[in-house]
Amino acid sequence: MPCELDVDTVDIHAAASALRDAAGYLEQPIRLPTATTLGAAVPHGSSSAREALRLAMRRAEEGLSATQRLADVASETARKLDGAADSFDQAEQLCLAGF
Amino acid sequence: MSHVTSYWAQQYGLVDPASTAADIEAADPGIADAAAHLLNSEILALRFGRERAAVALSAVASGWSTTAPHDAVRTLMSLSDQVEQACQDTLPVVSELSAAIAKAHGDVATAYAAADDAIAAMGLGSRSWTGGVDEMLRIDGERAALVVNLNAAIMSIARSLDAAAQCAAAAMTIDPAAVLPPMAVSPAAVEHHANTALLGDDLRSPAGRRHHFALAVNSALQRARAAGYTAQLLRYDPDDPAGQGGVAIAIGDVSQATSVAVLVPGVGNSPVAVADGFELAHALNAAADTAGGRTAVTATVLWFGYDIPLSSAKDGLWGNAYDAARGAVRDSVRAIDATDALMGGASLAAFVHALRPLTNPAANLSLIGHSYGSTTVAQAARYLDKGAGVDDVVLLGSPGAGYGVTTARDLRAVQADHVYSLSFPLDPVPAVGASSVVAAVNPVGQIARKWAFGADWGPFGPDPTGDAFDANVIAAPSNVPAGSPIDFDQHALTNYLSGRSLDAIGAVVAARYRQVPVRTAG
Repeated sequence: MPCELDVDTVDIHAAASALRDAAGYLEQPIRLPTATTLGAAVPHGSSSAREALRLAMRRAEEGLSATQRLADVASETARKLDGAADSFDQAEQLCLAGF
Repeated sequence: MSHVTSYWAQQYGLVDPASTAADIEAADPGIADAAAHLLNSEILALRFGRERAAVALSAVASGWSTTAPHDAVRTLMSLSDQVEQACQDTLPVVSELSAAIAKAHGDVATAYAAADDAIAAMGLGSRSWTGGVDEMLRIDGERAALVVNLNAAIMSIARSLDAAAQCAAAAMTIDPAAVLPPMAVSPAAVEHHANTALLGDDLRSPAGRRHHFALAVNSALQRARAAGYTAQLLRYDPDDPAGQGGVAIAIGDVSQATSVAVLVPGVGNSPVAVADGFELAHALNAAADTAGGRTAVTATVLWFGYDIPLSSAKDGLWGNAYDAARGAVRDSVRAIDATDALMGGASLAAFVHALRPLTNPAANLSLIGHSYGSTTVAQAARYLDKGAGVDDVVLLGSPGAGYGVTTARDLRAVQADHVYSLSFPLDPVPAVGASSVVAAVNPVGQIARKWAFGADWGPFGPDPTGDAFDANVIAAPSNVPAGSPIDFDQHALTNYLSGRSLDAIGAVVAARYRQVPVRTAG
């Protein structure tokens, strides 16, 4: 068929679906005591230990933030893939309709 | 710490080891354990996510001939690897810190236990006059020596802990995030993550009102994701307003959008049912994108941030039968005038101030209210000034524009010619129905309003589609065929956000004003 584009949109939608799954895993809300609760938990501890604990929690939260940013990237990429696949499908339909 | 050595330290003018011991014990290894648990959770999430991304890569490789999507997924996987590596690098440091703190706690306990043993073995617990002065001096000397030695031991433990902690801190000064290449993160995404973190806290909280609210919002976000929408949780406040909770979810990325609409629902809606509005928001985005042309990108925020009357049946948040009944009565009484809109308008104005920094400064911002939500929007537009960044106000199926408003010029947030209104002729709410009904059930309302505001605008204020109000009245027919004399389907938001009225509202949102059909004067 002359209107058939050399693009398998089923595979593209499958890729988008897998990326949305990936985003789902990455977006699982996980959160533990924050630096604020840390401050309350260690009011008089040794300053070195307190600082190290604060850094530990900050590192963990930075990891969480980076993970969630990746979820955004995955969702956005999935959205673009779906959008592109839809465009291809529409282009084929228009072609078949004689446009 | 209460120990006999503390008393002796005071008696002999020595340093009390208990002070340093208390400092050591105050360091909580549970914090490090919590951080390690979080890092492990992140590593697991990253691995699962990466596995799915690998599946996506394989699918995209066979379904696409150009390299762009392939590269995008590969970059995602590479970033995932880097984040996982950063977490992996931090994990042993955090675990060692936890172990060092736990060991220090154990060492302090051991040092005190050894001191107790020595006190018993040397008979230092009591001092007898029968032994003579020499014996008393010996015991005093032994006690002082024991305190000094115990203090030295505790100080040594503290130094060891300090060294381990400093070592851990030095290892963690390399920021894991710094090893990552910069990723474009929108301010709205940051807001979304902050709110989803709060949501996560409530999901893990014991069953109760907050937990119930969090489940509903989480389910809404999942529903949006399943529908393929970009959803941003821009507000999450389970405690506000008045126990109903407040939530704002954008369909679309407000930071990337060229047009942003804030849609405020009317009576009977509840934040726990926010997902019911997703399709309408999506439809509005599509209509505005069509009106705006090729480069238009629209995001619609569903704002459930005021105490919405007649919503208690959906809320389901009241703890017991008494609270439920009281909530339902209060909820119903508030639907009889614009009081909630008065307060809701102030909340919406505050939300607009918080929203604007998340959007593109050039994006067109419209406030759209339906039914009682239109009263709330009008009140917000009365509070806000022109610097707040609102471009248009749209009032749909409005029972009235609320108190303190006589014409479109009183909505200070926008120029009067940027106020739009639409009420279908057979919509029973604006067609004097609402005002008549509440005047019947609340005859003292008129007196109260006169007393409070010095004038009576009716229970809901002036009709924004009236000639005297001087708004742009959108000329579009109802999408529901004429039926019974009182047909609430005419009033439904789905009716207003359909067909030609949706096209017209989309054109306002996209700032394509020439495409908006308006009723001509007279």
